[in-house]
Amino acid sequence: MLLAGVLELAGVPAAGQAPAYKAPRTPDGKPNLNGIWQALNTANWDIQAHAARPALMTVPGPAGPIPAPPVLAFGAVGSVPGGLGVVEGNEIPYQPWALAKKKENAEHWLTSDPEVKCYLPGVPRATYMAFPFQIVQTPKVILMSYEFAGATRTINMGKPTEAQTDSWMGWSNGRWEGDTLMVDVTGQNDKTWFDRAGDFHSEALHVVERYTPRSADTMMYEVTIEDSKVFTRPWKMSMPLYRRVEKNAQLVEFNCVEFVEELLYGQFRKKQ
Amino acid sequence: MMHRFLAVAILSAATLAAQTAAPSQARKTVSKAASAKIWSTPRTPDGHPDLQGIWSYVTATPFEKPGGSGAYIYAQEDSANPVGGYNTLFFDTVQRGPKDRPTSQVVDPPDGHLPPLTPAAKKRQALFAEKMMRPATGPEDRALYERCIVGFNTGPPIIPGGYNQNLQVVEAPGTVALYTEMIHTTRIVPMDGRPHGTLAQWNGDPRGHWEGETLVVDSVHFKDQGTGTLLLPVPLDENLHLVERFTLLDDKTLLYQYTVDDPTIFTRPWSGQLYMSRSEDQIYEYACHEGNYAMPAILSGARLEEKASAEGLKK
Repeated sequence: MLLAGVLELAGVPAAGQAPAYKAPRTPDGKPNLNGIWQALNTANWDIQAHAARPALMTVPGPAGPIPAPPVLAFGAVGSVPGGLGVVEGNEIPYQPWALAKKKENAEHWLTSDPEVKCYLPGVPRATYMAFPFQIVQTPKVILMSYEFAGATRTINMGKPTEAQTDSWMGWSNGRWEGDTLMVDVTGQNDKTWFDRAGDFHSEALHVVERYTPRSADTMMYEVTIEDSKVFTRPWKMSMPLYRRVEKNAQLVEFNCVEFVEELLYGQFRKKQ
Repeated sequence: MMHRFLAVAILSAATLAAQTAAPSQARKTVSKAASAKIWSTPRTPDGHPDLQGIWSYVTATPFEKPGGSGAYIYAQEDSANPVGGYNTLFFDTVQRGPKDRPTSQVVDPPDGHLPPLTPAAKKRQALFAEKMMRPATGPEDRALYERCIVGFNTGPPIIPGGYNQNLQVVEAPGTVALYTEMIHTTRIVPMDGRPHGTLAQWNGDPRGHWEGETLVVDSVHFKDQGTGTLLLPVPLDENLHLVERFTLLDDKTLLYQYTVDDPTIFTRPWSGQLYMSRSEDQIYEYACHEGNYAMPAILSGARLEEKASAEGLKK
C-alpha cells in the first residue's frame, strides 16, 4: 500500500490504475471523435451473456434444439456466437408482462425482428451492429452515419430542441461533460429492438449515451436505458468501440432495402 | 439569361479576389470598403469556407427552359391541382423558393435544354417506360424511389421536385458530409486527397477538395440502375462522372452547380445549377422503406387486375 502511494506521488499509476487518457483536440478544443468506429462484440445477437447455440430459431431435435427449417441451410453461418454480454449486472429489469413479450419476440425472431426487414435500427442498436459507423464532428452538430441501411442521425450540440414526432432513429441532443460526449435521445418509436434476442422497448424509451475516449483508437460507450412502460428501473449497457484504422477506411454502402424486396414482396410477383 | 450567369460569375470572382489576401487583411478590406459591400465567407475552426447548415432547394426555376418564350413555368403543379394520389399539402409551394433566378436549372447547353440522348439511352428509356406502364410484375418494374432505394430529388445530382427538398452540410477536418433528407442519405466526402475507390455505390464514390471558396465534389463508380433523378428523361448509369460545386454566395444562399458527363446516356456533358436557401427548419427522418405500404399495394393490385381480366375473358 505504501509503495503504491509512493509510486502515485512519483506520477506512476498504481498497479491496475491506468492514467486518464486525454484525446487530441479538434480545432474548437473538444475531444476529437471524428473517424470510423465499430463495436466488436455479440451485442447485436444478444445483449445479455449467452453461450453459442445452433441458430436464432430452433426446433426440438433428438438430443436438443436444432436449427428451424427456414435457417437450416445456413449451417454454422447461421449459428449464434457466444458472448459475455454488455448489460451491467446482466439483468434486464423487465416488468412481468414485458418479459413474456420478450420471449415471444425471440420465438418469432425471423418474422418479427426489424433488422431482418432492413428497417432502421434505432439507438443504441445502431451503435453495436456488425457494421462500422462514421462520426463527423463539428461544434454545432455531430453527425453519425451508420453503414447499416445508411441510417443517419444528427446530434444537436447547441441549445436542446424537442422531438416534433416519433421516428426510428430518434431525436438527439448532446453536450460535453469533460471529455465525455453525452447524448440524450428521445422520440424513438416502439418498432425497434435492442438485439436479435427479442429485447424491446416502448415509445417512452429515453436513452442517454456517453462516449468517452479511452485511447487513440478506442472509446468507451455507455448507455442508460429508461422506459417506465417496459422496465421496472433504468439499466445500463457498456462496451468499448474500436477505431477502424485501415488506410483510407470508409463506409461501404449497405443499402439492404433492395436485398429484402424478394422477402417482402416476392409473394406479390407475377407468376411466370 | 447569359448575363445573369455572368453576374454570378463576377460576384464569385470578386469574393475570391477578396479572399486571396490573408484572412485578417480580407476582413480589414471588408470593414474599410463597406460601400463596396464585399461579403466574406465565414470559416470553420480549421480554416475552410463554412458552408454548413440546412439548405432548402425548393425552386421556382424549371429544370429545362420552357419552349422559346422565356416565360416562367412552375416546376410543380400549382396548388389548385392535386397530383396523382397526393394531397396538395405534400408539395413544396413555389412561394417558398428563391426569387430572381435564371430561366432554367440547365445552364449548359446554353439554350437551357438537355443535350440529346444516345441511341442506347433511348432504348433504356423505352425499356424503363415499358416497365412503368405495365401492371408491375415485381418491384423491379417500379422506379428506384418507389422502391425506397434512393430518393427522387437527391440524385446525385440534386434536381428539385416534390417535397423534403433539404440538404444538411456538415464539415469536419478532412471530411464533408452531405446529408439529404429524402431517405436519410449521407454522402461522406473525404477531403484528404485519397484516390477514388473501386466499388460501385448508389451515391457513387465521392472525393472532395477546395478551390478557393468552392467545395468541389468529384464522383464516379455509380450503379448501372441510376440515381435519384425523377426529372431526367432516363436514369443515369455506371458511366456517370459527376462534378458538383458548392459556393456560399451570401449568408442565406448556397450556389449549387454540377456537370453531368455520362457518355452512354447523353451525347455530350451538360451542366445545371440552382440556388439553395438557408432553412430555419430541421431535417426530419424520411423513413421511406419502413413506411412503404405503396409497394405491396401496387403489386397486389396488379395481381388482382390480372385475375379480374382473366376471369373476364373466361366469361
